[in-house]
Amino acid sequence: MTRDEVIAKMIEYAAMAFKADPSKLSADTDIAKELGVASTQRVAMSASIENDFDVMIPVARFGNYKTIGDLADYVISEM
Amino acid sequence: MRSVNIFLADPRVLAGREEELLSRIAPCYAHKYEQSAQKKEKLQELASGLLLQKYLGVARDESLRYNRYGKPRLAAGKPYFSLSHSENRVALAISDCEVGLDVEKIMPFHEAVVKKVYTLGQAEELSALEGEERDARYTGIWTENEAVLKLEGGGFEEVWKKGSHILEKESLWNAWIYTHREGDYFLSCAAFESLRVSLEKADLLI
Repeated sequence: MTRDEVIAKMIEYAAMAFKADPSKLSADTDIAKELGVASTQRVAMSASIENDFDVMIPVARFGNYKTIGDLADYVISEM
Repeated sequence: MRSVNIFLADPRVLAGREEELLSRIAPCYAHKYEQSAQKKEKLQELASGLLLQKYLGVARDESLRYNRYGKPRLAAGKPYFSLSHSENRVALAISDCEVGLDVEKIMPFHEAVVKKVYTLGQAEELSALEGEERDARYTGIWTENEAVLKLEGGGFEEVWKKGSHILEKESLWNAWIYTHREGDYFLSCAAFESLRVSLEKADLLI
């Protein structure tokens, strides 16, 4: 899977979890600033990532990834 | 019988008065307000600080201590409390025994979350439902699970690491749980014994 494909999946998960418009999200989207920090949404994203990529992101460490691109890069590094 | 007082507030009433109200709350909550990027989250932190100040007299950071999961408690020990916020609700539970509290706006059913952090019994219950009824029950169960986990002092992080079977630990499924729905919101409060419940709307501006 290419980086762009992983980013597309992260955008899909973020759109679902945060009820955001996926056309307005990108690799540069700042997750905390533009989407929020609610634990329910972070759990939803982490669950989707683990379910589809078999990569575990502890909820407490989710905030370590500033952008959707940063999150994608971590997932790629763990694949 | 011991009791729990639950105070529920809508943080939107604070909009426009943030600067004057920030001086009333503990600096750690003023800091969380400053650090929050979104207005909604700023108001949640301000409301949390105001609830603690109004009902527990917390206006200084020294009044609070934290466990390893970040759960706050009074430095004096009692009374016990638990705070929660979601969208346009902030809630504070105060009791003479340990409690865990969670409030959530109804959210869409999420299969991967159920697979990861709900018990088999809860997943089965949800599989028999659909649409809005399923979303509502999904949210209600979420608040019950999180209230119980906060009662134990942890949170979903432990479930993440160890799996949903920890929710079936005897002390947890023996916990007393009170669940209340108000419009689009569910609220659950958990304790290790039955409690008499008082639930009231909090006026943050008084």
